Amino acid sequence: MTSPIREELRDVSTEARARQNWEGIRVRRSPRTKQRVAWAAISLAAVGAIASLWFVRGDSGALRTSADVVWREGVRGARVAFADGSSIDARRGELELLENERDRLRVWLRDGAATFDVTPGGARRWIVEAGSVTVEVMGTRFDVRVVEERVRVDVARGRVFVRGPTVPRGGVMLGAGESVEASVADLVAALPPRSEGPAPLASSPRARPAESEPTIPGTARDAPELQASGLDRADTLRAQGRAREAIHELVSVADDPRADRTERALAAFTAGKLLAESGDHAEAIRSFELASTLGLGEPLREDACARRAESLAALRDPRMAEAVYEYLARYPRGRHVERLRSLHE
Amino acid sequence: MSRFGPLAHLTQVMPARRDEPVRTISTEVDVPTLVSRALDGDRWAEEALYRRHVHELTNVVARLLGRTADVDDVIQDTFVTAFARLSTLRDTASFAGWLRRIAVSACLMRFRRRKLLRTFGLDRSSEDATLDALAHEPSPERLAELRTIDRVLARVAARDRFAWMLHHVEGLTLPETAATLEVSLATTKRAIARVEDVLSALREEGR
Repeated sequence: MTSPIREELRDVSTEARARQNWEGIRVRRSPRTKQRVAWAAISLAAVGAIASLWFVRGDSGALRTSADVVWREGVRGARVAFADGSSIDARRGELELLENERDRLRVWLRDGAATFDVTPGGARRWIVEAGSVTVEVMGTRFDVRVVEERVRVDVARGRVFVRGPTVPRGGVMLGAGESVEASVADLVAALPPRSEGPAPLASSPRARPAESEPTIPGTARDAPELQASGLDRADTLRAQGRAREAIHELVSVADDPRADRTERALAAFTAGKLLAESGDHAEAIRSFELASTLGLGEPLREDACARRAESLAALRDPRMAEAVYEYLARYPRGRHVERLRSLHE
Repeated sequence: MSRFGPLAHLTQVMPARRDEPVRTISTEVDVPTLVSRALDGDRWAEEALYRRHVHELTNVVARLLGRTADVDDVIQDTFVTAFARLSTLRDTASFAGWLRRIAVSACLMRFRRRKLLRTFGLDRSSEDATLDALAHEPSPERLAELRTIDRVLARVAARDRFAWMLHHVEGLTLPETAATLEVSLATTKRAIARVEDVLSALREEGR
């Protein structure tokens, strides 16, 4: 049957339109487009899964064990598996839990050895304290051992950053198959007595007053009083124009593992500012990093991030570009955006 | 006779690269052969199939949708789907009908989306491919009649509209219309009858 209506109508199809559509079909059928669509779908599904987990996981976002219980206590001579696939094998050691938050998990290896298998890609930063050594990691597998007065870190997979006063150059990035060993005893032996008040600054401002016994993180005795007096003294010294002595006081508080974490962070940040002002950018960088690690609140965290980048720039350190990008990524509308951009350019 | 005149039996295949010559194929290569070659991964055969059906299909889609803005998307969707599902085509000789079914299905999806957008006041495209707009130098009486049909088609359900158009505008038989819409013959007849009823009522009003 021939339709009378169709024959009365003009064509809308043109050669240009046909060509254009064929191009569109070719692009849509290309493997790269399919791959993009697949990745978009996977990303969308992943975002959905993460969002679901976020809600399901509840209030604190703390790391849960495979039994879906928030991990609240350390572990001794046992292995613990987590809901995100990570695990800690402390069958040969004693581990104490210091923090279990949405964005960080901090443990203290009190004694022996432990193997950490951290699932990559998580938002939580893992921090392992062992003696005077701190290991920071996002996703990897590594061993930490405390044997007498020495701490050894062996990385099996991924990358970790190990730092501490006795670690070579203050801090070292380890890749797969790499190890570092640091002495706890060296640190203790190098410490001048604390009770004598503000000692003259040693070659490094991180040389700090000693204790009569090795420092043990997390076992605060009369720490709050000591910190308060240290910060007060630092304030007084700053007011008197005795910047170097103030730095010494602040560094003492910042490096004291028994002290309150917030106080330590504040002390480290203030020390960083004073060090940068005095031109000691290398130490300033370390102080800002320590302050950030200890957990500064906003807006000090933003300041620390920006000031670290500035100190790196002053030293012409190639890490400066990365630091600027980090700041811009975290604070795209931050207070230091213009300054850091101009710094980078 | 086709509007492509004496060259209608030839189909130009565009080169993948600029330096390749434009190939012209004869339509004497039958559709089942082209389908078979396309299934073997022959890009030339795929393009030949596209070239052979795209003009006809573009016109059908434009008339069904009533607007040209959505035509390109539907055409691309249709061929992308068709090539992806080519291995499921049992009777390769019925490629044109199978392609039309995919296109009509895509048009129905467009209508559903249009309805949703209209609900939220977001459908702002104009109906520029209505029968009266596409009519070639119609008489005043014929233009008035086509406008009446357009008003009715804009009012009825999408499936009723498609059934009536496939039968009365595209000239498909009732069984062909039913097959294209993938419904029974009785359903197709009822759909067409519903449109006819509204049309008759409107014509009565006009008198």
